[in-house]
Amino acid sequence: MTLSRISLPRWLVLSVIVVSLVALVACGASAPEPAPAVPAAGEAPAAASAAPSQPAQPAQPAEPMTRSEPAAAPEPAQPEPQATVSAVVGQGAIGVGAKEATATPAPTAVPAAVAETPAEPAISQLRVSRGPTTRDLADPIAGRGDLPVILPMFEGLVQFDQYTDSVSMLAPEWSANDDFTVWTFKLREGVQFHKDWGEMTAKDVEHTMWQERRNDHFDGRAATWRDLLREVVMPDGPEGHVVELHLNKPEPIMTTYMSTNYTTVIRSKDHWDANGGVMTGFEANDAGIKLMANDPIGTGPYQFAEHAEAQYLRYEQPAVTHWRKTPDFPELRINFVAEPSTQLAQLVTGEVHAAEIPRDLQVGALSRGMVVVLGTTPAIRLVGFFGGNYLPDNPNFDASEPMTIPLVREAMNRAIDRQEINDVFFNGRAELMMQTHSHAKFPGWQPSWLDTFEADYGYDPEKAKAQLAEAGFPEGFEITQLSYPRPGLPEMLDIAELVADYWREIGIEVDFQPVETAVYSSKLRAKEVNNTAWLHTGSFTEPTRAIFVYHYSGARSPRYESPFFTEKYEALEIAATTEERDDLIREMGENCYEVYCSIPLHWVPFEFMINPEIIEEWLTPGVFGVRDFEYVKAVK
Amino acid sequence: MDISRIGASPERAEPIGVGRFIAEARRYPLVPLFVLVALLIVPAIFADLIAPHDPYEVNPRERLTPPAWSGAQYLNGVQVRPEGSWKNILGTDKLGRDVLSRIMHGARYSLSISLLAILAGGVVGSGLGVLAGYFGGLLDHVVMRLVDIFITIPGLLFALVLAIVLGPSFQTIVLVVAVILWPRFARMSRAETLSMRSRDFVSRAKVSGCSDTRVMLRHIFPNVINPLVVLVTLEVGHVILLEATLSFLGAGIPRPIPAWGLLVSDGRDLIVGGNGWWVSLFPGVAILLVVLSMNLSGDWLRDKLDPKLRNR
Repeated sequence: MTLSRISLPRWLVLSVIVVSLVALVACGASAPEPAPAVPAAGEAPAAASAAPSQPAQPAQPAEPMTRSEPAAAPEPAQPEPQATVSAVVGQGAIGVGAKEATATPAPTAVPAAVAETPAEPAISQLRVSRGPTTRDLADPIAGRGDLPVILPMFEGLVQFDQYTDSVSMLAPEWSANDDFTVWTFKLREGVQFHKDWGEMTAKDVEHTMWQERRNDHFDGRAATWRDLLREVVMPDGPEGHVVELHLNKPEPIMTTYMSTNYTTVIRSKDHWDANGGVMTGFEANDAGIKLMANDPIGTGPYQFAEHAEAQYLRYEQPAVTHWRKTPDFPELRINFVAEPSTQLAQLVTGEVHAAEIPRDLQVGALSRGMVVVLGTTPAIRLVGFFGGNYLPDNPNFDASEPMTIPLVREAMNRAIDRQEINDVFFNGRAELMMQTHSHAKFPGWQPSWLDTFEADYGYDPEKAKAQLAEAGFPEGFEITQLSYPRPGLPEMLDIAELVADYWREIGIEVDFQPVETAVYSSKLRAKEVNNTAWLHTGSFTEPTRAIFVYHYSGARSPRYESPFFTEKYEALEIAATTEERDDLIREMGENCYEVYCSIPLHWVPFEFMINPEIIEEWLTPGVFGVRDFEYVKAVK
Repeated sequence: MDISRIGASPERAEPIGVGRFIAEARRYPLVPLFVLVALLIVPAIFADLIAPHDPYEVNPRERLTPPAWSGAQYLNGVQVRPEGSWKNILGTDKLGRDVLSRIMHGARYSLSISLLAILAGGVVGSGLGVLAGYFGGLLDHVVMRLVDIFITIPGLLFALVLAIVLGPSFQTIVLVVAVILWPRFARMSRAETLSMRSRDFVSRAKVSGCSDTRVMLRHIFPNVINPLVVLVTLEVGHVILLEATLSFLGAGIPRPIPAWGLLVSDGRDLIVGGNGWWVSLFPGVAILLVVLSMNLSGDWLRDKLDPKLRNR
């Protein structure tokens, strides 16, 4: 029978079969391969059980308020490589056949004062792919969200090390007066700005503090600085190496604010002045704004080379040997790629050597020999909030709304299966969060939460239903749930949708609305989030800032306000001792815990993937994404 | 002697491949109609009865289960993908929802959006077109310039802007698509009306005292409707694609409603990663088959309704 005589229905059947076969072959429906142990669906591809979900450990001793750098500083402490693959990074490199690489948190590490001998990498340019930055700007005023693309070029007086401990950077010593209103920083001598813009001195710090208060600064912290900073004094003159920051009120965590993690990075005053930059009050002129955007000058291990808008930033080594670290790769290029699948394609084809690959896509890269890198910290704070909890005197506050009632908030917390979220989306690698702004590593930790959390917040949908009934909502109620994308957590939308489903299970009717971040932000600022819940991510940082942002009524857009938080935060602002601060933070944490002020979910380690043929080791906290490029060890 | 055979070469080669398939499909329109019924109409009407699962029922621990016939996938002895199960014939999505059930329920949205949008756009466009063609003059100028303006606006961009301004919802999509469609109906109905209004039967109707409304409704519109019916069938495919595109871009039907475009969008990253190709593929195939079938049916209908083409 000839083909032309086949009747049409058979044609159709044949066509469908052929298309299906092609699709199956193309998509790789693989034959089963025997395996010694077959984990259940949703388990990690490899070494997934390396870090099972577990509560954070007890708090460490508080940081001393005065410190100085040892005369001969050691290299940053790094974990012992234990994986069978060539890359060992962060908490563990997970690759084909990799074993768990357990990182032992090092004591506070201080960068070496003596420059290293430049390495000889296999390639000269390290290429990294990540999502678009928030501002697409090389100027540090872009703010914390864009920190990873700022840090290669700039340095601060203080830095957060791999475990977010404050350690010295451009200031080897610092001290504060008794009431924390005057902070003195001694500057490192001999540090050179890029492109022959001279040595960093006190005048550059003063200039930086003006830049930090610019009206066009994208971080809300510019306003904080304006309130806090009264004067910058240079006891040894502008060319000296000592600065005093005189404050309007006590600030015991000044080293945090002066650190790289807050983008308080030192800019060159000579460069600014010579190119027509002028500050009138807090207003920078056009020449200055363009200068910082097009030719930023810092003291970092890389200097600015090129910026292609919305495409990439390219960096190169400065002409002089860097005082702290000469990167293994003489050049660095960070590509901004929105689509994770494009990032994956770039990684496996060798176009880039590291990329932010979502967990669901990692198998595609693992099978091609790439390796997963975990940050050294649980960098991402995954938390949810209940809208409408404004101060009682706010006209938008409505006490009849269900989510203003603690029992309802408790029920909504109990409806969520945190373990399932961790297993399904994070391969069990995330830490359980006890309370929104607290972590064992930070001040204000309450160890008893570890014992009581399961009883107070554990998954129990039946009890949740009973609590809703007890609160007067036996038939449930309606809420809106907003969901918006967050950097570093591509699973956000799916997790939010799952949480919506948990709530539906206990009778809450959820109108799930994916929106752009700007839409959410404008609603939040306008206090128009009544009867609305949402999930959010933050960074792994000291709790004071989180309390301010999330709970202080004086902040731009607090999520949960109460007179208690307002009173305690204002007391915290003027607290003069470490112990007092610790107690206040703990009190606020306990209050938040008891009234179910939020939905604590997980501390999630940041993950990205590297090409182990190019990169041997990459130690990074992962806060705000792929960063610490100067410490990337090249395969030689 | 069959006059249609005069001049035709007896050895003329039969079309082969895709061309033959299309030619056959035109000759036997029941096949695309069957596809339409099987993939669109029956699921749309009876989804609640025939879908194997609740399309909204999440089951995270069974997320990204492959289609029934797929084996487990291993990487160096470690299972990275479970074996397929007949419980979820076409697999599950990122939240463990059944892909087949979601496609079936998605057909309901695709069909209802198409019908409502075409109804709205068709009624407005055809009405304005007939009015413009019948009365001519200023009304004709105004309507046709409006049509020109709407046709020059890029459809997808316009739809995106409207959808974003009004917020993604079922009603918004219907409105957006109707706004895009009405000029096509207006232009076609006007052209047909122009050719009708000077015909003798229209003149006789007027002379016999029929009102303008009666002339338009009883004498012109029935003669205009054939090409409009063809246009409707062709536009259904277009509307399904447009809805899918808007949903894919996040400006269409909001989650968790299983609109086809949204289903394709949900799994687009997983295609490259290789660990969830089925999430996008099957909704994509459903869109392809339905749109193709709708277009073939439209072509056939046009041939049947056009006297010049009827006997070809």
